Amino acid sequence: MTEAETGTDTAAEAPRIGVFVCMCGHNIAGTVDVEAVAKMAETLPYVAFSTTTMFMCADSGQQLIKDSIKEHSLNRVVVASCSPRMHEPTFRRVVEEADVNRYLFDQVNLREHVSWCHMRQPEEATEKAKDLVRMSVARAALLESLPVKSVEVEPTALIVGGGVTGMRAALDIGDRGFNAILVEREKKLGGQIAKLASVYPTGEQGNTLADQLIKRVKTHDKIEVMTESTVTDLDGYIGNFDVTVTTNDADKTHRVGTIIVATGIQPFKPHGYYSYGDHPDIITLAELEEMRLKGDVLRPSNGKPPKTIAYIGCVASRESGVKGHEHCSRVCCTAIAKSAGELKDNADEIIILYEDLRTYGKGHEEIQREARTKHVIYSKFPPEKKPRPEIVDGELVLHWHDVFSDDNLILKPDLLVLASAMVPPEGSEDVSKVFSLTRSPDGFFNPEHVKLAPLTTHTAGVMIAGGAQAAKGAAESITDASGAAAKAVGLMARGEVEIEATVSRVIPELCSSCHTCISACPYNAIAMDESQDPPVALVTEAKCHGCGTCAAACPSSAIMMLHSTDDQILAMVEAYLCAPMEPDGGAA
Amino acid sequence: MTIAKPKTSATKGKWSNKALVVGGGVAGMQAALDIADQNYKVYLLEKSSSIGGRMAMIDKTFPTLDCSACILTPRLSEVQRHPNIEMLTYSEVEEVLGSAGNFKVKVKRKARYVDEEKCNGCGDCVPACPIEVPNEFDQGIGFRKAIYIPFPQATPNIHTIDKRGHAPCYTNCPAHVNPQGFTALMRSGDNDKALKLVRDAIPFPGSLGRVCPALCEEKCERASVDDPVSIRNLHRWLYDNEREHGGYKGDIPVIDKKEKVAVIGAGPAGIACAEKLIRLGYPVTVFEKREEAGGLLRYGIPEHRLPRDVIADEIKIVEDLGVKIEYGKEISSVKSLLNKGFKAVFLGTGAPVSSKLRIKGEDSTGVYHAVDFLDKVNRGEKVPLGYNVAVIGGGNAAIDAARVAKRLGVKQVTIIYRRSRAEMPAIHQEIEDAVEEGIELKVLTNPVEAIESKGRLVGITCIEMKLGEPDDSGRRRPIPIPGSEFSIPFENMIIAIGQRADPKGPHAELDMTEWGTPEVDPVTLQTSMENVFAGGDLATGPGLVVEAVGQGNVAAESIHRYLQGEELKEGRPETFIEVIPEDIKKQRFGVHPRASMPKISIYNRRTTFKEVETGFDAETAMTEAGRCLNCTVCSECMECVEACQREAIDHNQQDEIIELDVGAIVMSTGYKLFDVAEYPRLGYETQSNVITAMEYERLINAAGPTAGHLVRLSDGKVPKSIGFIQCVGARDVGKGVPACSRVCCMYGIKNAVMAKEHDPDVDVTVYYADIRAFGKGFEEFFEMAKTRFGVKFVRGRVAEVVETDDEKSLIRVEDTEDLTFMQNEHDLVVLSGGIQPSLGMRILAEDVGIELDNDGYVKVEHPLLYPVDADVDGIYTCGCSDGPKDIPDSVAAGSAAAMRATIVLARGGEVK
Repeated sequence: MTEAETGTDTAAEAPRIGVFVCMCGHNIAGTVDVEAVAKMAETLPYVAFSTTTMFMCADSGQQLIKDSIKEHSLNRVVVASCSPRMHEPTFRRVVEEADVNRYLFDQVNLREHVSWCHMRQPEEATEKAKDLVRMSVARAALLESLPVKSVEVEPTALIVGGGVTGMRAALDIGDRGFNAILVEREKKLGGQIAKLASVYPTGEQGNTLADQLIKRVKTHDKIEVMTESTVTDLDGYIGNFDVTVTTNDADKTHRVGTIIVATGIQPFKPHGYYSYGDHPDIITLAELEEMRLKGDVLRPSNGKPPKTIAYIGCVASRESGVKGHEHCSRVCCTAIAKSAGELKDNADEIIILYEDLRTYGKGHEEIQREARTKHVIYSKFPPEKKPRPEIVDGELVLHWHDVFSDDNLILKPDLLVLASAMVPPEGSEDVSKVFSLTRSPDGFFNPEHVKLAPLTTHTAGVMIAGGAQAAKGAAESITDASGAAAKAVGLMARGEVEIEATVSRVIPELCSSCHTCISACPYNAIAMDESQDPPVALVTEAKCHGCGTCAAACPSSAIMMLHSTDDQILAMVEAYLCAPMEPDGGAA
Repeated sequence: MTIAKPKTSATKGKWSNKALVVGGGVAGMQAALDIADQNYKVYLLEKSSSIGGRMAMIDKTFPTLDCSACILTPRLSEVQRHPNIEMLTYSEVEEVLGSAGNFKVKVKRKARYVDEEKCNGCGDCVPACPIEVPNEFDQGIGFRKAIYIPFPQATPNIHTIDKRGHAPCYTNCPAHVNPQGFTALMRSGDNDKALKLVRDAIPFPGSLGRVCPALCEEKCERASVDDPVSIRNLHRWLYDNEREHGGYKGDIPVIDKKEKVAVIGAGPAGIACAEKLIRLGYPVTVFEKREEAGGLLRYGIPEHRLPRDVIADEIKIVEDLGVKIEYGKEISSVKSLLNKGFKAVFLGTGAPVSSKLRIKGEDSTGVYHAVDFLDKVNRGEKVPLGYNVAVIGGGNAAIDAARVAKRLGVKQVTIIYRRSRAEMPAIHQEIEDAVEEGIELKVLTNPVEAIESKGRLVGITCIEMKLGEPDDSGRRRPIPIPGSEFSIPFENMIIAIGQRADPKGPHAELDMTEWGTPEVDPVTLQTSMENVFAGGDLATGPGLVVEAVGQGNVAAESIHRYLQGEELKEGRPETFIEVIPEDIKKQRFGVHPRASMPKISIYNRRTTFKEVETGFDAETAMTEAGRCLNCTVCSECMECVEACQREAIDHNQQDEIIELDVGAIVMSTGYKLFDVAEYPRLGYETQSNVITAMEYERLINAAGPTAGHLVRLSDGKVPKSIGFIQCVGARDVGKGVPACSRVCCMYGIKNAVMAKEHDPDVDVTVYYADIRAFGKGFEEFFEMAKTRFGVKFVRGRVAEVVETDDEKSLIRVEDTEDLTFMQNEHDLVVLSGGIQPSLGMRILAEDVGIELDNDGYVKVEHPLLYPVDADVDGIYTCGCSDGPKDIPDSVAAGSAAAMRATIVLARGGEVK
């Protein structure tokens, strides 16, 4: 870059760049000739000051930067030290304290990228360090100050789903002092748990458990409960969502700051599996539980108490290659054990046919052991040769192969209970669309990160909890509920959320209204601004993650990435390729 | 069952809106972040030196095979940067009082010996540290230094010194030589620094390296493995090596102080004192009445043990440092010295007067005293000796005298000692050497009369002794057997039963004890004159050279303090916290016997005064130095202090107790892995190719000890077949671990898949009881392991693992699905251990005041409605504190505990 070219930039205040090269003890200075790097930097365009110090991150180093900004009227700062991972926030803060916008700071990584990886080549390392500093200076000259933006967060949370998960989340938020709107599409709160006769590991009745929560939710002054209602539309962004809730065909819009999706799980109706539907005495575990909750367990065929009961596990679960049924439903193994153990008191024979036994959780093994103690029989069947119910003269005959005895066995159960898969409830597709949630192959919603961010999603401000994320038990769901509530409260308690200024921006004059960016954006952050004629793309900055996909996709080069503009990147490339001229001449 | 929530206890008074999170693993970090994000202050307490917990150790995470460190590191930074989080690493909870809203928590902040404010993690100290110990973070299969960060992304990035008190060798040495430090420096190849460290304690590494009875070795912990480290001979080697390569290379001190100090007596105590003072910058003059310096080292110890040139050289080094020695100058008055301008005086004139036997005939011709005898010989004077010579006594002087007599040509030398050989105070090796040289020991014998004829000794009448009860010295008291007298002909008798101070020395001006020694303060060695100090044999009576040196050191410190106007007694005597033997890690040290000292031929030993012990060669010395167990880990060699440019290292740091006021507490104490050695049949500890899953994690980790190369630890070979054994220490009522550990199936499958990722041709089999792939994406991952990666799964609990002759591991198991008995050979076997409550959970629960369940985990208030509430209001639990959990469940629970805690914090004073 010639001086004439850079000199054309007269619109803004002329850049005065300070370059600070860190020795990091021996860490950088042991390999890189930091003095030479700093000296080279002095010769670069717009560099008003260049120096080295032992530890730039230390208080003394920070003070040096601040003092130098004042003394040399610097308006751009380049620190050549370590990875920005740790100290970019440190130095951004330092320059801000000296009244320089944080985006006018740039960091060069001379440690991880140079001294540590080129320890045996000090000369080449020094050259690389010079290149990197030169590139950074070139970029710094073009950096623009960006406003540090934040948006306010409405102190109200929307909770979708009135099962125990949703209720626990609402209660925690309410108890913490924030408003919660709890939306449930059924008439009654309580969800799946309320339909269980015995909830493991405690064995309490599901409706008594749910009732305790329902009572508090309904009387809580911070919680608004909306039953027979669904969320039909969502607008806005983190902190400022406008949700449309439809109750009996009437729409009402609420302004909420955060959202928790707790839509739960639903037991699968296993038509096509094990003759379900072909005989009245073949029922699902969920149906058995409802029967137990209402009264005695009786054979649907004749209303008599069953004396011989068979359970089959993994019904429509763990089916490799069958979409939506590949997952383990997590709750069935323990639920079967609990149910069988309890019913054994009134039955002669209970047998559980299983594929694998997954009583993994706290107290689960005890439940299984208790069932065995009561002489509930466990029989493992091979996954490739599943049990086969037969209906002979209206009578149920169950054939299966027992793995451990290598025998083919036959039983005529009075009742056959199928532990069917836990799947996402109907309507999950709509929920995923409304809240821009992605779904994993099991049909449940994807968390932001399956390991470390299981409760947040890629839609900022929208959390998932409990069965919404995967099939799981009550205790785990309730834990999720409190966790998701913490995420929501974290946003609301701060009252505002800082949004990254490094977002994309549409240059309206160049936009050809082709909609490419809208479909490219993974965050639904771009829409057409219909107020313009012709309409042009418009980025909602609070939704933008700054990923750059739109800028890359735009065929008209109408989208720029703030803080990583084409000009800035090209200046770096140019600085790298066109090393400064030797003082004694060279190319004219 | 109760539902009376929200509960708040009726605490009156102050309500704190700060929180404490106990445990800095992934759950604790999440809890801290979620509380801090609500603008409450959080203390995040972690007992190790870095947050990150187990997740930081794991290579990849299931089911996505994300690099664990890569996804964790940003979280570590987030915690560190959060303005509302204060990390208290290397800290432990001591006590919790109060109730919800108003807990008072006492926290012990363990000394890390590094200033957290000053250290910036640059790591300059690490290469300087000579101590290498197994790295706990790498499960002991990699190494770290005594000053360390456990892993590169450790947070805070502050180094910690692992220091566990003082080594027994160091505390037992009267002069406090630091054997652990100097052997470590030797191992790291820095002999100059090693020798400098020895010289920091004693000016005679060469001389004491030959004559010291090595009290250090008596206490050496290595003896519990095989034999003590040959410490004495190692500093001798350092000295010899330096001398061979051009002599003294250390610093020459700058004399920058004005106060002149006089030392009377150039023996071990005097020289030690003078050398210390000159290094402190004082002008020092030593007055020695004899023609050469060294005292007992020069005139008392024979040449076959300590060649003249060695002691002369070591004296010369001291003189080269600037110490002025005036020879042949006897001082009779301390006061006169003070009048000459000396500001302080040290008296170290020794105990040169030999004790008498007090028997009849003791003064006849032919009777010598050992001190005079050795003195004469050492001066080159001729001493006439007959055919038969008796030496009376069992100390080093007696042995020396006997061996000298032998070398002077005496045919028959007999040592007469009143107790048994075991009680002889002489160095045992010396006794052995004497016997080898043909000297007879006559023990349990005491002379009662020296028989004379015409004034000349002709024989000794002795009496037989027996041993009675132990006396004050701890040795059994010798008792004469009446009527057992007998006589033996002897032409000479050398009496070596002890010495005492000369009562007529310059110390006569001072207050004296009844034994004719100057009265000294036992801590400061100050005499009745405030600027006069006395030490060594003069003050203590006859003792060891190293004791005299130790006293010289103490006196030098006193004189320095006195001259600087400082309090003499402050912080003295130095207290030592000896390392607890149980804390010393010995399991990885195989038996390797102590190096034996080469000697000249027995013929030369009987006839010449050549040095008997010829010293180690360099290789022997290095191997011997390598035998040190590093008992205390840090040896205080101070190399790190020198290396740190930020002056961040403070070896004097102390543990500190701080008190926190918090409104809520979150327990996130994690877990400990089941000790798989409890199943001897599975071969861990006895077979080197049987490892734990966590060791495997470190083995396949790019930042691990093998840089991610999956090899056998036994021979470095790449395993072609690996067996993973599941449920080791889980679902086993007999071992007290009835519950499922919940994570092992998946991490086992993940590890199996990683083996395939490292080497697609490797044969991998997982032996399991049930595969519990219950979480999101788990079953799909299990399926992928089988179908895409070709991992084999065998359902069956492994009966045993046996090592075959060709170093393979044979797994014997019944395949319960095929009902077949299998014997499968593998190159490597990995045991997937179960999870147990973290170490110290019970004590911590008591300190915190919460209940545990039957398995030892935190008991929750209600497993369904309040799954993260402990049974005490204001205390919450997450992660594996209340039971095994995988990472996402731990993280979710961390957030949940944070939520519950902030409900308490938010109530701030509004108590109902």
